[in-house]
Amino acid sequence: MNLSGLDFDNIPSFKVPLRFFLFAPLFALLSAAIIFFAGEALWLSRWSPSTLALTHSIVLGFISMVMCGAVLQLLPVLAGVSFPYSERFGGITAIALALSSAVLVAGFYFSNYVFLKWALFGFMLTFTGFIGMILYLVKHRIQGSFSINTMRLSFVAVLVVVVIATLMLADYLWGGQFNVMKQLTDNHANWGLVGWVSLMIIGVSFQVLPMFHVAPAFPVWSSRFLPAILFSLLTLQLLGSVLPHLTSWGCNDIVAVFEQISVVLLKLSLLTYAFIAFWSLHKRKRKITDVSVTLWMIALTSLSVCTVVSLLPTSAAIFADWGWSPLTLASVFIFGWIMSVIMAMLIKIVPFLAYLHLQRQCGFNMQAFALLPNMHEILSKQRMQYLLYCHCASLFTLMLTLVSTQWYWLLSLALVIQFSYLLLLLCSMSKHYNNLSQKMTILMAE
Amino acid sequence: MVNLNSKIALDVSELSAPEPMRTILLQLSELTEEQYLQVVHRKEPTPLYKKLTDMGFFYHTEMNKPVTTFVTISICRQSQANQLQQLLGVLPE
Repeated sequence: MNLSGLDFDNIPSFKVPLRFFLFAPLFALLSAAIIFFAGEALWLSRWSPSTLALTHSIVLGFISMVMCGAVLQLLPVLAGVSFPYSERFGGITAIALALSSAVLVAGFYFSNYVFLKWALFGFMLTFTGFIGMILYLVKHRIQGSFSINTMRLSFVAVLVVVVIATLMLADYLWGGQFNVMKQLTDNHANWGLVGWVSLMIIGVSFQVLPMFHVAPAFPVWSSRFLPAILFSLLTLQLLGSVLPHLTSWGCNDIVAVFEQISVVLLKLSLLTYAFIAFWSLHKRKRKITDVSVTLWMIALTSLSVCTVVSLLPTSAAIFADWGWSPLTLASVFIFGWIMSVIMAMLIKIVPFLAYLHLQRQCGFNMQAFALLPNMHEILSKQRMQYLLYCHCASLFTLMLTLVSTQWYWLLSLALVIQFSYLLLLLCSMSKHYNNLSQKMTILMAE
Repeated sequence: MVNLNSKIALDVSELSAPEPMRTILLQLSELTEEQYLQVVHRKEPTPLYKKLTDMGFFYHTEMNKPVTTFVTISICRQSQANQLQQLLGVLPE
């Protein structure tokens, strides 16, 4: 942990990230509704309208929503730059992202071209504006920490995701312009799930694991090189899968071999990260039971299982023989790895931010320090434990549904319970923060 | 002049963020003129330094490297800075 690189003076108000965090569970509830109404057909193919609606509802509506909120709050701390008009900018981005996601999900679910066109327009504006602003703000931060450098790569990755998505939607809406749709779809998913989401998680973990869990810092070689290796391998894979279809230079076999090698190395790099993160958590100073650590362990186990299984050349055939859904690995990657990390981060970051804003409000008033809450006063251990049970129940019912699709309704129910509870916790933390803030204002006015 | 004669020891090296800062601030709110706070931390708490100076405290940091990675931060009221430096044996010539 490098506290010397942190700047707590530039943080935008608590409302800014909270808006994003409050929108996110609503999309998880929408995803539960899609699972319920789409029924068993959803689990048969990744191309069905309801499957596309579900994946985008989760990845854009929940995951990206939380990540954008966290970035708006963390970036000023990590990079030491303040966002001009952060409240207005954050509010517009949250609403634009929520509206674009909702319209896109509706467009996929109902196969409605008009909705898809509007969603395409909305995302181009939202993400280009959001990422453009962020890249502009961090461009002068040359001596950035490893976290900032990794986040930079992640922002570039999301731009690649948007460009590929635009090409795909344009192809879908205006009819067959490209002959590389399958390759573009694979790359869209890879750049989204590995480039945008996983790189962001990896970058943030370099800072938060030592900070929140008193774990040793990641080895310098891993935080310096691993993100760049992942990004380079994604680029090689994109070029290797698309170029042979766009050119006729006669070296397609060699390019295909390079693409296969980069896919294998990409998975090995993710596995390496998982092992280092396991090591860091295992070496933490106080081995106390912590829900956030348990969620990290679930996440890293899911990541390891996904990478190891996908490295087996016959994994797809084995899943087919066993009657498992073809969506198994992607589902475990999204829910087991990404969603588990997001739950782990939310239960640490939201109370931390509430504390940080209250501490700033205290200023130099020493009497007000007595009102500063303990992290567990903002979110109790017991409530975190209930959230963990809910998350495990959702993960278990997901696995059950992947084996036997008839259990989809149980998964939907588990998701409704988990994310309603998460929404309740977020509202409760926000209320607690407001109460303490008011008490401080009164105390300081006396 | 009040004598600086009472040390309050505080080990926050095993606390996760933001507990070290909270614990230190709570202790500082109760620190009297004759007391100084000696904090053991696992890293240099850079965000704390600016706050200490702005609140009228003096601090002295000792890095315990290469023996351990811990740092020891001694904090007192600005008016007692000389006494604290004498106590710690670091008073400049």
